[in-house]
Amino acid sequence: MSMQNEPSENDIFAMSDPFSGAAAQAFSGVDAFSPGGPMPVFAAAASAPVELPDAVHASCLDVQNSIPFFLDGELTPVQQQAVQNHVDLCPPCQRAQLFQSQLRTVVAEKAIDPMPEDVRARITRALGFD
Amino acid sequence: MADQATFADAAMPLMDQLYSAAMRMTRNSADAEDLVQETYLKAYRAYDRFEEGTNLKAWMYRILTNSYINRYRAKQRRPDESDIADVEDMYLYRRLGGENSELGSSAEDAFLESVTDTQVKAALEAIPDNFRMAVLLADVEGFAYKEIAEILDVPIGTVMSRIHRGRKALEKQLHDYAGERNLLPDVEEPADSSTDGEVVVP
Repeated sequence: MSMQNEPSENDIFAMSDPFSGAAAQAFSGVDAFSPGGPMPVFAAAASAPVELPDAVHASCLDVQNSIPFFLDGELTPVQQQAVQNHVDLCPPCQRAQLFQSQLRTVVAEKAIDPMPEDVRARITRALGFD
Repeated sequence: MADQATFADAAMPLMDQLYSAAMRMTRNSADAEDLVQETYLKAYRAYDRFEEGTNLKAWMYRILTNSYINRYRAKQRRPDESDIADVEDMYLYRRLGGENSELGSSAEDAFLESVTDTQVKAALEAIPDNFRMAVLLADVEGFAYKEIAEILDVPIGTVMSRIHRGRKALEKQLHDYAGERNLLPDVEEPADSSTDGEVVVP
């Protein structure tokens, strides 16, 4: 799936200055995303928009590419709500969001190594806490 | 200013989490144990400079991260960005079938149910160093971007970029495991299948 540089005019994710929080700073960061390339979250805007009753002005590709940042809670409140509204009404995007969310949980749950008790005791002793 | 007498109660419960992170950073238990011990000794000595009421967990992770970087920087490989450059967003989801599948979410569910601890750990450890730290802090430890920026002492844009790239590397690695388990639909075989099944040595 190729990224497009041309955002559609009525796309909430492609407005000239939609950011106020972390995302705004992120996009001006020195090594933010690929050099010279489009912003991966919001730039892939020119694909077919979904036709939804309330006309959420974001394509499914936009929404799906922003899901990781949505799950992080790092979009602006307006963007968080726009993604939520879209996902609520769009089964394919809902499925994509569910998978990413479940994947996140699986990764976090399976990446755990309990501290060996003898090492815990060793550190406790080194700190003089025993 | 924090009282050293309160350090044990406040900091010791974080040890399992810090050890897990140290394991993913160093990729072996001996180095991880040393790194956690060094972190606790440094933290205890510096605890009177910790500002009470601020985020102790983030402070401990910052010490852990700095200790790791200082100790192992010489061994670090440069991040191999070429590995990640051609990985698109939602890489794993789209290759498991994603929105194109008409048969329900069987491939996705099968993957999520079958992926093992060992595979997840290996996939995390295969992420290039700089990106790996950011992904660990975000996805395993649940820190916000702003906290990660403070822990790694880099701009928030750098954090976002590293998380984004690191997750792609993670998904690519997990995708390779899915391929080994024949969980990928035949029709979704990517064009660059020459690398599939290749043994990736971290």
